[in-house]
Amino acid sequence: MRAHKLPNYLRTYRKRLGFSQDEMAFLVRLHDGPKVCHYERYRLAPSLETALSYEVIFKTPVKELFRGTYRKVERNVAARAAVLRYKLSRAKPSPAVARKLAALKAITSHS
Amino acid sequence: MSHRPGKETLVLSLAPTSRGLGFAVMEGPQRLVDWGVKSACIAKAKELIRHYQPEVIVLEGCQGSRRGARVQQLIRSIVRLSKKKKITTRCFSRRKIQQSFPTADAATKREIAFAIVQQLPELAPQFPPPRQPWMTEDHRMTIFDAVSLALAFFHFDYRRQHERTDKGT
Repeated sequence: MRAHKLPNYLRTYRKRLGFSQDEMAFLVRLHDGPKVCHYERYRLAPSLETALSYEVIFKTPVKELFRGTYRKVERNVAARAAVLRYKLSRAKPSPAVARKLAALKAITSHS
Repeated sequence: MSHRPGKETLVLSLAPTSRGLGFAVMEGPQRLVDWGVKSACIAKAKELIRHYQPEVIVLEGCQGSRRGARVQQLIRSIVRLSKKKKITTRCFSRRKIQQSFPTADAATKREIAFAIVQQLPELAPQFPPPRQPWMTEDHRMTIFDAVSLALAFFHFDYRRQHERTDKGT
């Protein structure tokens, strides 16, 4: 599998539906097409509200639309989870710590 | 960049013609990421390479073909550019492309384009009407040329990968 993916697939999904960038800007309540172009060229990251609007329009989860960004975030979180897991494993054992360790193990093993 | 064959390889295929530069970006034989026609110049090819940073660039082999001098020059420039950027380049002749569509029984460009539309329905709006003897080729046909090059790459790459696996076992 590739080490990295494209940050987002907004252009692909828009072209599949045949919408222009201006029409897409209207649908996601942006003022004009250039902002859509910036998102599609990976120059800008959309706000949460805009990202969710894309999910509604394309009927595809945000995770899929921003697959490259998601992978990057997933790797970063997993790395931090590994550090926290190491720190907690040296702490005094308790049921709360055990619960946290289990959660962190799930994060690190999943990614 | 060293290329490891795989189903998720990011491929940029370019089909330069005198009418324009057809391009397709694919992440596997079933996943078309982008497609279109740009003006046939090296600047546009550079822009696409910079934006997508592909692992492989696929072109039509112009050795022994009857392509125009300007198009052949453009193909050679793209090959030089991809070598400079250390991107793997693959060239396929028309015959090789035809061989990569064995089940679809596709021989002509239009039959190949029809087989592509069956596989990738998002390209259906780009499928041009039948060409009459007095008509020049529709410029959208370059998109199908580019997609057929990418599909030929996945066809032969996948086969080569399997042959390698078979030899290994």
